[in-house]
Amino acid sequence: MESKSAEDLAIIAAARAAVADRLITPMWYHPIFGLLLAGYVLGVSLGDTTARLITSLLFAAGCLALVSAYRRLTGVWVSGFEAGPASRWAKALGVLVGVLVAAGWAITYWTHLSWPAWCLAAVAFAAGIILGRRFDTALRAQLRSGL
Amino acid sequence: MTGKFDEVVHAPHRLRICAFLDATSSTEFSVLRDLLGVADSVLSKHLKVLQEAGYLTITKPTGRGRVKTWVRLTAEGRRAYVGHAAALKSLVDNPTARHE
Repeated sequence: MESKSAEDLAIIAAARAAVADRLITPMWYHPIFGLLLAGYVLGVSLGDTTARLITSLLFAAGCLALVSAYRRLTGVWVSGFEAGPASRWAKALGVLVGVLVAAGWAITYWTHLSWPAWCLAAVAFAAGIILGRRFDTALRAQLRSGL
Repeated sequence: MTGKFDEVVHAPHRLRICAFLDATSSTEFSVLRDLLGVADSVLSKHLKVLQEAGYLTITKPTGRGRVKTWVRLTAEGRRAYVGHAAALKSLVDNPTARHE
């Protein structure tokens, strides 16, 4: 019985490793995601109410298109919020983008300067790439470790 | 956590399917077929068993190009799989333990 159970655990480990093998994110994925985030931060910071609405819709549509392309290429999808411990990177990115958007809006509103918004957008772009790749690495390691 | 053995999940092909689906949010049919190395009909049979148990959902989004079938575990299916995996681990770690 124990040997059968050990075999079953080996089946589980192999299946999880197979998921890790499939999660090869295309090179363009994170840079495009970073651009979407940067555009969102810029649009909300510098635009009027209409521009903010359009930016938000374009951001959502861009994210959906990106996810759709990823799913089509890899045949799998792992939501950043359904990835166990690796989700902390996705949550960190979500919080950071929220802070950047709020800061961009507030700074532009109070100072009428546009350059801070461009700086915050650059941070969003870099964060999309860096934290996105951290998420991928953590997820693959987690799948291979049997968590 | 000792978990609970689940007869639906227990069959090797279905255990492999559940382990793969548990690690993803959704998976395309052909990926599962390649993972198992079986014919479409064999995979369909196993998916039907899991679907009838309420353990997974199957969707065929419409749109441009060839329609692909996507599979995902339900919350109930995830619970059943996690419990089954925990029971297996418990048995291997502690062979004298009793399970439900």
